[in-house]
Amino acid sequence: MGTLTVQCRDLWKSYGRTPALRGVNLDLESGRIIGLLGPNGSGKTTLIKILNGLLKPEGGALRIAGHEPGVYTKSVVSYLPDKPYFSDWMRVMDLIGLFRDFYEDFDEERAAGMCAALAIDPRLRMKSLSKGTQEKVQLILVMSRRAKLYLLDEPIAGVDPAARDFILTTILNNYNPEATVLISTHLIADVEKVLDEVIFLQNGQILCHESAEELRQKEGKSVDEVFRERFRMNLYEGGVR
Amino acid sequence: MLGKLIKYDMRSISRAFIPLWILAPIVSLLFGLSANATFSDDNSMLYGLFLSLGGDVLTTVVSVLFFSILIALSVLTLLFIIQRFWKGLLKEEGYLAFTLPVETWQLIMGKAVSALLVSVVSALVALISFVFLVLCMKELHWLFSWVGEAFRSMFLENPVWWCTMAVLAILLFLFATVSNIYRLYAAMALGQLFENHRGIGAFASYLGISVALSALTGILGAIFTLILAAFDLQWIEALLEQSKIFGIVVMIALILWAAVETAVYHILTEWILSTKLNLE
Repeated sequence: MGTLTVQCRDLWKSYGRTPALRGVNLDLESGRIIGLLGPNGSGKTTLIKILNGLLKPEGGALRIAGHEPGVYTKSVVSYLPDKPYFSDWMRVMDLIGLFRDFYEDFDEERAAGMCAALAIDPRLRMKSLSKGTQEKVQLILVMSRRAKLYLLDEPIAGVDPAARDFILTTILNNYNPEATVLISTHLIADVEKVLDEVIFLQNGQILCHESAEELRQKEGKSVDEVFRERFRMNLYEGGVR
Repeated sequence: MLGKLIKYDMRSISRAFIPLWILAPIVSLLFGLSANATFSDDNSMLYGLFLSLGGDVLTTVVSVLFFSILIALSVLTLLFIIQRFWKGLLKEEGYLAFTLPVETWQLIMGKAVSALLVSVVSALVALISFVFLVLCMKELHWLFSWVGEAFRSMFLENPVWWCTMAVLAILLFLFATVSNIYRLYAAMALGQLFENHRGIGAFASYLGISVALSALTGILGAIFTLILAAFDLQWIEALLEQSKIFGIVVMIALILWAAVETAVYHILTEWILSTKLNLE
């Protein structure tokens, strides 16, 4: 059993009058790749933003690697957002330099190596790259850190199947094995093969959190099929399992 | 970490501003030379036109050119200050900025220091551009000797007082610039609280802050006048004026006011971005 990387107790968050998270309790161990699965608007991005310090919960307690969210937790959390976050003026090498300057756990050689393997010229402006290449560069940077917690928000949404394979391979080959990787997605079939655990999230609540393998054995179906079934059932029954 | 944040902000600035800072004095020089060539010919139509209007031709031209350059520099500097905070912290780039292992106050202060540096350099460039314009026109060289004479007589008369005033004036310029920068930041942070139309929210917040500030200074001024009248403290005023301390006291009061304003804006901005941040 690994050490606890994430401990959430009764986390609450709302946007105005709309609740986004409703009493989330969650323990995530190190050395696991975990899928945070749920339909759009289920609270996946909100949970990830709370874990990386972009949002403050209105209630509950949170500890990352034993610490409350702050400068330390940001130094051990490697976050990939679902959108480009670089400045217009930046070249690939500028972004690499920025990661080197701010993150002690950043492995510059690894990042440069991955860029070279993909024939990405570090002197090119980020803005001049295709959307898919921009996403690859951001993923390379995020995965070149020896972080304790990787938070990947929809890393394969909006890219072609070949790029999806590259992204999943990059994650598998480069993550710190003592870390926790949390991948948020609704494209379950594509990521299922790499997941150790799955979390189903709906309406800001956790429907289930268990081992991917055990779930498959118990239900006799793939995680993707279980997901579709449960969320379809919930639609008709209007309740939570 | 603050130094690194400033470094990256300054790098984003350099692309837009260094060409501008180089261009402004060159454009001034070219304007000045071409204006000089045009107006040194007493028979030119333009010269005749200005004379017929009864204006001081060279002064008018130099003023128009100088103010054009000044406005261009000011507008671009203002746009830069707004854009670096808005885009750098409250839009997509905020996803990177707010997940860096730094404190929120460092992010805000990093932006403020860069904005101050840009403002100071832009002001210096404006001054250099003006000197270049005047240099091109022999007829206006009296300005240099007039300024030199004014400084000489001031320093001969009371060097300590004038030096103190000069230092205080520079400090006031810096503090006032910082408080204006922070007022923009506070307005943008308030605008970020709006669910939709955040740009309009920020603009409305800026107007709101400005109106509140005017009201506050008006009320404080009235209270001060009333106190002076009620307690018959005019002897203090007389004493201050007599010993030339009055100017210094006013300058220090203005600097302190700008410092307090800055502190209030900073605390408000940091509180909003630390506890109410909601990137789109």
